[in-house]
Amino acid sequence: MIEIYLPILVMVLMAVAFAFVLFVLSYIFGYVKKSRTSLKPYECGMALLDEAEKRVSIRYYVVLLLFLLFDIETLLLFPVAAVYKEMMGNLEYRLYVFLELCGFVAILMIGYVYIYKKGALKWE
Amino acid sequence: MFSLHPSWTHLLTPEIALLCFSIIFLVIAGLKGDKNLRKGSLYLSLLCLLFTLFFVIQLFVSLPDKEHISVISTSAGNASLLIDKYSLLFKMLVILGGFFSLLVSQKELDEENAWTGEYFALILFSILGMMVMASGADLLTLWVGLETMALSIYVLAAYLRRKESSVEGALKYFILGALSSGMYLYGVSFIYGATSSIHLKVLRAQLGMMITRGGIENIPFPLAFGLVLLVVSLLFKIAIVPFHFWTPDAYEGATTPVTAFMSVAPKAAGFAMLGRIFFVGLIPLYDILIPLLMLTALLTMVWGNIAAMLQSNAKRMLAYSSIAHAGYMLSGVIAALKAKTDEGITAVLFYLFVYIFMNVGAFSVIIALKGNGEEGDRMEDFTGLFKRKPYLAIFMTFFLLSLGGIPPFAGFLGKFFIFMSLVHSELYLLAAVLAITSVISIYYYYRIVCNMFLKEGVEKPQIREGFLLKSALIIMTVVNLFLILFTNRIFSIMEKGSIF
Repeated sequence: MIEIYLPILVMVLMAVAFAFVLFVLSYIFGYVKKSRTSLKPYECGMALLDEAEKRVSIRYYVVLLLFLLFDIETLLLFPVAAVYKEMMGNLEYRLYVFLELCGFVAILMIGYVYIYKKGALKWE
Repeated sequence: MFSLHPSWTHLLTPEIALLCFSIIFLVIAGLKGDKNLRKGSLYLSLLCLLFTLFFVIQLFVSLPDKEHISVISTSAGNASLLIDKYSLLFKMLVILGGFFSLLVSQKELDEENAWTGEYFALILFSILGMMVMASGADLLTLWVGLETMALSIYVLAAYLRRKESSVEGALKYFILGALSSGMYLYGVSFIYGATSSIHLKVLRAQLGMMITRGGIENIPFPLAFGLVLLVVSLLFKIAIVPFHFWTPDAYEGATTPVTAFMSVAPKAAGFAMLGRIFFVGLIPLYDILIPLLMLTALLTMVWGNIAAMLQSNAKRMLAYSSIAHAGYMLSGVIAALKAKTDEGITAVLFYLFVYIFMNVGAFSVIIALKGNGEEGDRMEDFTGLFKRKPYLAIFMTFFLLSLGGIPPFAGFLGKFFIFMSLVHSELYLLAAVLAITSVISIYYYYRIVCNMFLKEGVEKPQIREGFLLKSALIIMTVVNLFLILFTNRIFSIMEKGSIF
């Protein structure tokens, strides 16, 4: 069964070998002319505006963290969605399950109001 | 599927009420408010905790003894959330710890100028987590409670975010705490893989079956591995010696009321969880658990007391002494494991009750000393306190003598009951070490007493406590002094927290 993939393996190996050979050849026969432009990240692109090793303001991290937080909270809804139909079949807990979900989302909402009021989402 | 107890809203009133309260505090924290609003929320949070305590006491009174009501359980009847007198007693202890820590926090927040609404919300949230820890009956419910508590306390430990030591201690606490939570979950995953259940009752049945069939060796390696991780992470949470390294830094760095809170409430909740897991889930393993725990308890008592002698900072000293006290309480748990009676558990509950009053008391004197740009937590800060503020010095002496276990004070009773339970279950080595290390502990408690009474201090400005701190000090002194008169009554209440 697995033998039918052999051509693909050969193909991949040949591709790697070809790239490697080209690389070695250009290393041996090619010559490097050192100049100011050749040291730049984009040798033949647009001129650089600034250096890369600069301190960048990371105030975006709060938004990022909050996104992660709410993302995970949403993730917690998926397991409920998986068994929701079955749970709704149980007449005894029908209302309870629904209200439980509402409560969960309401608590999330309160958290959102809190971070909004605190100005964590403000972008000057 | 799961099933709910018909009157679950009634059984969970304290938790539901506390959840609503803490959400309200979160909303208040979001509002732009001045200092008066924050001060108002301090009083409001005290009131909320009293309400919650009232609900818990009401449940406690109405519940028959030795009854376990499963509020949430699987359809097979394995409880996920239990209400019994054991859990209700621990809930009371946790709420009391939170209440007194809030009561003493006014002055500290004034001095640090750190009035925020989140302080109250976080304390209430962590108490909610601890209450779930006391009630949980499966490994994941317990974990949810544990994390609700721990996440709030990490933030509280870093509450003075401009202070380097505070952030450092909190970061150490967070990293080690996250590691231990990870270990807990990793262990639970192995246990689930081996027993296909997270319920403590099922775990107990399966362990019992394996052991009767072929002894300890019959436990498969993955299960044993999971159990080891579980026990280690539990010992970490109550700061037992090989896993105690976060304690001194976190306690020293955190603002003092938070330290007081961290040293009583999470400890009580940790013991609730430990007791539940040991006595419901792991009891068939007592043969291996007892020597293992004995070793850690001995190390904890000895090292906690010796390291406390070497400290020059009162908060650090109290941190090491709290490690030693955790060792005493763990001995009570071992006694209960060995004798399979509730005596050890009763002793631990009693000890935790007493411990709230003496430890928060000692920390509140440190809070009172803070001011005029001084931290007030160095040993030298206590010099000549008797001349400056006689009654503060006398109160502090009471608390320290109580912590050391000198007779008429409350701490003596706590140690006495643990000692008796150790003797009754024939753990003489632990009993002897407990007695000897208590004597050692008196040395370092007396260093502060000596500084306060015998040494002449330099002239310092007056100490102002404020109404709340003063009343807290008076309540705690009265409890420490006169608890001995009500020993029987309190002991008989604690006896109801039976787990067997």
